Amino acid sequence: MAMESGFLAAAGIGYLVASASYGAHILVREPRLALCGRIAAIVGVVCHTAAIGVHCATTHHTPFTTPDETLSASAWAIVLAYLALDLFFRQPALGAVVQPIAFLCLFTGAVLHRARMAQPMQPPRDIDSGMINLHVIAILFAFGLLVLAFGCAVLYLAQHSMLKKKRSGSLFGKLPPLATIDQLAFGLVAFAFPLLTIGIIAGAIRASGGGFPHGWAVDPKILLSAVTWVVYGVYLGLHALAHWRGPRANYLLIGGLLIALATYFAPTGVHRFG
Amino acid sequence: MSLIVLGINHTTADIAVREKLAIGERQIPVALDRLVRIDAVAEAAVLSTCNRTEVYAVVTSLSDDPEDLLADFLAGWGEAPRHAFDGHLYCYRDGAVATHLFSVAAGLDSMILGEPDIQRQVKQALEAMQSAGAGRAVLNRLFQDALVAGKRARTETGIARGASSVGAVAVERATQIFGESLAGRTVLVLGAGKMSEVTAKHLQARGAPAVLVANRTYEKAVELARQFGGSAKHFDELPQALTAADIVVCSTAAPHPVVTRTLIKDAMRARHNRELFLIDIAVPRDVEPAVGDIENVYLYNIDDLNQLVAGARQARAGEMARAREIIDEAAVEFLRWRRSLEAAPLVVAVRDKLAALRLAELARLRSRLPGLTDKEWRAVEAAMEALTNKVAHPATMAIKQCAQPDGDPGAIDTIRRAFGLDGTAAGEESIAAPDGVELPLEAVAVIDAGSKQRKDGG
Repeated sequence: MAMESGFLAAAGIGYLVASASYGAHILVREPRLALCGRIAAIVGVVCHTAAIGVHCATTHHTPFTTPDETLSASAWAIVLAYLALDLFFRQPALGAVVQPIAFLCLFTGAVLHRARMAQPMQPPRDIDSGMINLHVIAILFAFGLLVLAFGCAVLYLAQHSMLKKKRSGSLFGKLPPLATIDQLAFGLVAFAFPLLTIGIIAGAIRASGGGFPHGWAVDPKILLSAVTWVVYGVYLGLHALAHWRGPRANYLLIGGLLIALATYFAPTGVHRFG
Repeated sequence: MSLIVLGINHTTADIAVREKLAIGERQIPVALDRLVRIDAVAEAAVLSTCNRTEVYAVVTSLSDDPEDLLADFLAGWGEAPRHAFDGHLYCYRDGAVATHLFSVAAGLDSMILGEPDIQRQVKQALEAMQSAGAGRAVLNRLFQDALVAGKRARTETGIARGASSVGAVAVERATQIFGESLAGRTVLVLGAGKMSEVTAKHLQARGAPAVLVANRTYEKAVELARQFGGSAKHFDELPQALTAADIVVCSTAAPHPVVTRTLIKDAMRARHNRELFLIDIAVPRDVEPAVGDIENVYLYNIDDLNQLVAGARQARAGEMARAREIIDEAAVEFLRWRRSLEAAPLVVAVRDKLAALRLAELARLRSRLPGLTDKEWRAVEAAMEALTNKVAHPATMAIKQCAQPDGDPGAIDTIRRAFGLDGTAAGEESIAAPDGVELPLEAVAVIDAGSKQRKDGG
């Protein structure tokens, strides 16, 4: 337990340093800061992986059996997705948006974990089935990619606003070009959407397999997850077929992530979390 | 030895005066050759750009007035009387030379603050000096330090950031929309004005390969398109051209807008909402202002561009103080190095002088005390050596102290006088043997070695 906490604390420090470094890089455009951010993110994700490994070895459960564990795993998925993207497209400005989100997820997870530990432990229910694992893993990685797409949308709107208002603020020239960031966001959602679909289908199969109360499909959490799926589907369709790009498409990405977060925190009578 | 720069630049003289003293790139070796032929000039360098002509030199004590010497050279070069440049020339000496050249290399002295080309020109001046064999330790180090200080000032401050012309602003904005390289993007030049031509050239230099030109007079469009290696369009082909273009530069002489909101709305539909950047540098405006409200259309008129240029220049000026700090730091470091360079020969000279006196005294004693045994001689020699070392040590420390940037350079002359080295240039000290006693061979060898070191060091 102590070892897991130690690794998690180290991961938190790594994510925090990465957030600060990428943020400072945006302001002063010093390449060494971006390198520092990358190294801190790598160290953080390695420590986080070690913490997850220790958790699995000691509890013999997957690392997403509780809401706090899922939040922590989301942070891990976000940083992993960012680092994978960073291999192909160096976008330290995106790091400045998504690393703080990853840190917040990890931090909130740790706070919830502490609160849960104060309560008497409940034995985990039937949550380690293959279908549930597929459901959670697919949705975790989809969420990681959608957070990156959200980061792209934030950067796009900031850049768009500066260009429309003809301003040369302190951020001007430090954000990625509009065309690049728009394509990147589309690509990320194009990867995330099939994962989201697989995750939702796996969850539905598991729910229809029994053990769930009648009418589970109209549970608020389930309904919101369907809305999330529809929003991203609409984004992909409009972008690819109706050539929707620009601010409207990016507002849709921001709205999509907000709905995804609402889904996570929505009250539920049937889902494991909530 | 004194380090000096004499020059003329855009702040002290207008082009009519400056051009008389301009030294073309190919003429620089000739100018350097003429300079080093002057007896008092030990090292020389020439920095000549469209905004300045400057002569840097290390001048020996053979000249009482180095400024006069260089002014004569420049007047001779310009084939004009000296008084023609009265009030236009500036001169800096020693430490101020470093501060000046470092500021020049950083672009602080340029017409456009922080302009990048000056760094290359300083490098060229260094290379020309090296290939002409006109520079030695001091000017080599000065120019190399200038390149380092200039680079630091540019990268560590914002003096070089921000576009400083309408064309550069247009490129800067275009890269924020389409990416660093504009490869694969199409530029449409609407109207054949000079300014749109310059702006389009800026964009093409960033990689925009295709240029379309549309003009009311088709022949003019053809002529301009040929310059860009692009294609000419008839004015009534504008809707199709707007569909193909990513960046549009407008500068027609039309009295009313030729690019309307309806035209752009239709074009955006046809181009599947791809981003469109419109640069309207015409007065009266060519593009209806309402076009700027259309999604994915970025419209900049001449006022917007001029405001951005002014803002960039102001922002650069705000960074000057930070750049000056870097330059002052580098200049202090150069001064420290230069003082140490001057101090080293003096330390050698003091030690040489003491060694020569010791050997001369030993030679005299040897003739007066022939009965001393070898052991006794060794004791006498050791005692005298210890004595001279004890005298030399505080002198050496004092010279080193003087060589520090905060040291007193005047103290060097005092030390020189105290050891009887006053008024002699390096390598010129005459050490006479007392009472006419001939110096032993060892003493001559020590003095020779000292003189050689002095020559090498100076």
